[in-house]
Amino acid sequence: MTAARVGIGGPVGSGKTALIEAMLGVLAETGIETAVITNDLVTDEDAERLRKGGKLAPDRVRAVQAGACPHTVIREDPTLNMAAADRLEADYPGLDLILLESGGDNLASTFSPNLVDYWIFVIDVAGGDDIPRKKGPGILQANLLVINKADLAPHVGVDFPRMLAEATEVRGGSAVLPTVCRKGEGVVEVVEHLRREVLFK
Amino acid sequence: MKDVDGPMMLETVLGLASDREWHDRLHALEHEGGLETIAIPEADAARKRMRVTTDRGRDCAIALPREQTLTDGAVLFHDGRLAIVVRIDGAARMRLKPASVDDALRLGHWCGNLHWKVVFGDGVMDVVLDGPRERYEARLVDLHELASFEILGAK
Ligand SMILES: Nc1nc2c(ncn2[C@@H]2O[C@H](COP(=O)(O)OP(=O)(O)O)[C@@H](O)[C@H]2O)c(=O)[nH]1
Ligand SMILES: [Mg+2]
Repeated sequence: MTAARVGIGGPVGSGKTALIEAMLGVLAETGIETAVITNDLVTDEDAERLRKGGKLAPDRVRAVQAGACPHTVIREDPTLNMAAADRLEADYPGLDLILLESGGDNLASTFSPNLVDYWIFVIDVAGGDDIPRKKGPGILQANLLVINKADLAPHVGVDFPRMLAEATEVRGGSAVLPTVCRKGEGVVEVVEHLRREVLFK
Repeated sequence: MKDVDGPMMLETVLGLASDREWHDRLHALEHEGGLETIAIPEADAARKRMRVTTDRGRDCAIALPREQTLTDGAVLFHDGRLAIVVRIDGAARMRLKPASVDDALRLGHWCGNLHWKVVFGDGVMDVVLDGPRERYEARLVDLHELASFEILGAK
């Protein structure tokens, strides 16, 4: 079976890299062979951070530099990312999962179905509880919406249960999961969700 | 790798229901109650992997090779007693008709910026709807000041 390709998008600083860092530990324990492709604007910052984290062999983290608006390389012309994923699969034949982190983008960013089988959109509590109500395409169309930094809710005056309920409502009942990626909370549930919906392992 | 409760794995397109050899085989099975269908919305048809349920409630997981595509009538399983076939459910469409070439340029540029999926027709453009039609009509409200066009079949 081919490796599942899962996109992770969302605004700058919402916790996309933190989610990946937290997921890598859970995935390793579950025996899911993983590799990561990061998309930064003009650096390899996120890739370096993941390599330093030491949860994956450094060569299993590849970087694509978007150069321009981050959504162009995940939607309009995802060929660079597709080629990077193909190379990873050729280099690691037993691979189960390739996570593709998009560069931080706006609420309209979406992934091409030619690139990923499934995609997660990560927003955070500190961005404001009105974000789900704004109904950006990322929030409406993602297969899974993750609302991160639940720990910050009391500090930024957000009614977290209400934010979750509103997000579920605008998404017509599609999956929404809460996390505190910095402490690893809710991350097991994200991995379980991926196993059921797209990893089948 | 797959426990007893796991989904039925469907990992390749075996053929098309409209092909002659498959047509006859599936027809025979249908009479014996051995034909199951998976309905997939048009908006999801480009995906290679997904968890789905057949019309008889069978839990399945599709995981196709990158070079294969889900099309209407794709046969994903056949063992002589059971066959599983894909049905692509066409999405609703919204037809747009520009008044002139100038208006068509504006309209095309606008819809392109919105990343809408469109199908071109004779003097018209059909927008493939992934979500409620009102959401799409709302995105065109401001354009009416810049270009003259009709939304056909609008309520
Ligand atoms: N309080 C809190 N901070 C977090 C959490 N997750 C990530 N952060 C912090 O948010 C910042 C941005 O995270 P990062 O993963 O780089 O975001 P990215 O730009 O979406 O990849 C970093 O300083 C993280 O330490 C969380 O669950 N709670
Ligand atoms: Mg990042």
